[in-house]
Amino acid sequence: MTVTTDLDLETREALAELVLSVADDEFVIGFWDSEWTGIAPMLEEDVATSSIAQDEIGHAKALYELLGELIGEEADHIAFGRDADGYRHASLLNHRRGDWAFSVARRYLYETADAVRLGALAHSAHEPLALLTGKMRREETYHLLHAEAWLRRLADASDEAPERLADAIRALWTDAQDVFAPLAGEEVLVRSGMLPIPMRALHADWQARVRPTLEPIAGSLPATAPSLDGRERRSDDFAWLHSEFTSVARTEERATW
Amino acid sequence: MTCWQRPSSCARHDGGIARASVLRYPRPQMNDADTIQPLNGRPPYTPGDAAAFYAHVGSGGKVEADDWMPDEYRAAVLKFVEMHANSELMGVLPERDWIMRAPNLRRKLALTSKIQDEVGHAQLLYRVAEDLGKPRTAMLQDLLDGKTKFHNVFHYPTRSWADVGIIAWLVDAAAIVSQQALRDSSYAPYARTMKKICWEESVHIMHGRDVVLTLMNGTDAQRAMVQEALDRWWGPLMQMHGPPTDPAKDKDLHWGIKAKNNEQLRQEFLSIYVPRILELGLTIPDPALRHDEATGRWVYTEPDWAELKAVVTGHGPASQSRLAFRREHYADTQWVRDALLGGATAAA
Amino acid sequence: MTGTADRIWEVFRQEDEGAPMIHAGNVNAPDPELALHYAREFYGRRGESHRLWIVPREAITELDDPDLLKPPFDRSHKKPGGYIIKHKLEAAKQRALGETGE
Repeated sequence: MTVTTDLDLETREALAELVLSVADDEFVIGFWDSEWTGIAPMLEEDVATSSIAQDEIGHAKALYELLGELIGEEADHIAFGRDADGYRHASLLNHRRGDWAFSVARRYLYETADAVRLGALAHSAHEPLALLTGKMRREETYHLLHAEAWLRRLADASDEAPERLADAIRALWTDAQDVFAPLAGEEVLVRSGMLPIPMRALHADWQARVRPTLEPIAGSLPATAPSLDGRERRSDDFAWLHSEFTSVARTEERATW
Repeated sequence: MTCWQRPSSCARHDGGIARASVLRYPRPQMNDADTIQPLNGRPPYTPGDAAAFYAHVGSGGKVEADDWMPDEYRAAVLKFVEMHANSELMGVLPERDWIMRAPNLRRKLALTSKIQDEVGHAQLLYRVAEDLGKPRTAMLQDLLDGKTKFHNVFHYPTRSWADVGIIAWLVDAAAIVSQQALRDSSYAPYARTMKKICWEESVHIMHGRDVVLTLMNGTDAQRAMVQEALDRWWGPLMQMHGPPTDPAKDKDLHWGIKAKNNEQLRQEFLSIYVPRILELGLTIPDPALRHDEATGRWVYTEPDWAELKAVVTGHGPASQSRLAFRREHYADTQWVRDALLGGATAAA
Repeated sequence: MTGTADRIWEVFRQEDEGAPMIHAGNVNAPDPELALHYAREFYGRRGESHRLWIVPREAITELDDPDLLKPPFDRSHKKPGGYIIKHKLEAAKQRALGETGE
């Protein structure tokens, strides 16, 4: 079993980057989707989407806590205490929630990618991460079911739904690759087993899985690779989000809320 | 006449739960010599006999969705439940802005969860109302068109994180005082829904009180934020249960739709919550507020009933902006409902 | 009444392992899959249910006729309360004691 204190500095830093990337993905998508609370297309769906968004925040919380143990910092401070360019989420999560088709497309792209990633991390040599990932995967099953349910329904509907969905998939495709953007210190992570499978292999696996579902809807999708700055590029949309979620937290540094 | 005034033509009764098809024979006429088996100590009422129906509900009897009921009673319950449903739906909006601004992970989860519950309550209540004969689309349209009402407190803006605490604690508390009384409503589907809602609201109040307590134990600025929020919300809170009504003329009371009158509810709220507010060192912005030991009642400055009336008829500070917000988002998502539910009648 | 594809689904829930299925409420959904998701949301998102049954409303037949459910003739022989043995038991015990005492 790997205990935090056993890790050398290089491994620990690489692991911290990895955990931060997953945590920030969950945190940011949780925020965007929580915005649907109260205004989703149907009341029943409103409650479902809110649950999924809350799950993501819950996962982010657990990941920030795990990270906090690695670097000696409080989870809330990691979550709320950075400037906008300090966040390491994939560029897929840089976009505002958009219309319902946009959110459905993004959620599908994210959940499928996350499933592949978590599948690998469930076998991480860092046991706390492996255990946490296992727990997350149990909740993510429902997320996948729900994302697929909506993708199919919009794709199979008449009128404007399939086109809105197709447009959204095409608009998000390039950024979706960045869930698998290379991490700093990835070599160390793979060598030590913290990340049992390299990102580019996970990426290839994911693309192969989603093409058969997405191409009948959106047409042929390019074989794009993740970008090198896929977890560093930020957007105006995210800048807005960041200003919102820090607006109260930053009024009194280290105050208790 | 619209569906909800003529139950026999209502789609709910066509498409609702089927009556047992084995009952091919009409009920035999009962005469005085028959030994009538009372149900729960009360004689059953014959469909069509309004007087017997009102005796039934007036003495604690219950009514289910597909029981016969006088049109007047049906309309009264529908109006009551519809306003309640509207209030839950509009009640989402004051707090919704703060979902994105919640200052830590636990508060973010708790607040999102609370607001999610309010949406859930809207669903539960619209379901109850829909089974009385009015389609959800029609109810939502009437709300957005300003034809039906929602409770006063949801017509006011929120200005700070402290509002989140005050609303979840005190506004929800005032609501729960009414809602607990409704658990005994004569209209059984509503009563059952209220039991679920009350259970869920009890969590909200604890969340609200926790937020307020944390702020009160924090910095001077945080405490000042709470006092300022309380100063703004006290007026609407006092108006929330409505002006005292003449019990003799209150049909909702007689028919068991609600179990307590407005003043009883307000007194109950004050008894529980005034001490809890004062013990935190907060000041209640009503110098006349005190408990009169002789009468056992709270004395207070008469709330501004004109303000209440203006507000619930859509003239509150945030009434129009909130309705406009709802209209915009409802319109934006119409294509989704059409895609899933089909046609121009698709409801949310 | 609502959309053409919108349907109502009754939800039954089980509080704990082995407990009875109890009617909890109902949801609107266009098909069984979404009905399942929504039933889970309304009656299980807090982890409060052990099991759910989701049933289309039209599958339910209701019986509420008092002539069938509360018919007028005495049926006390069908319930435990219809057998009042206290006095007979007392009498039998007394007799048995009396016989022994002789």
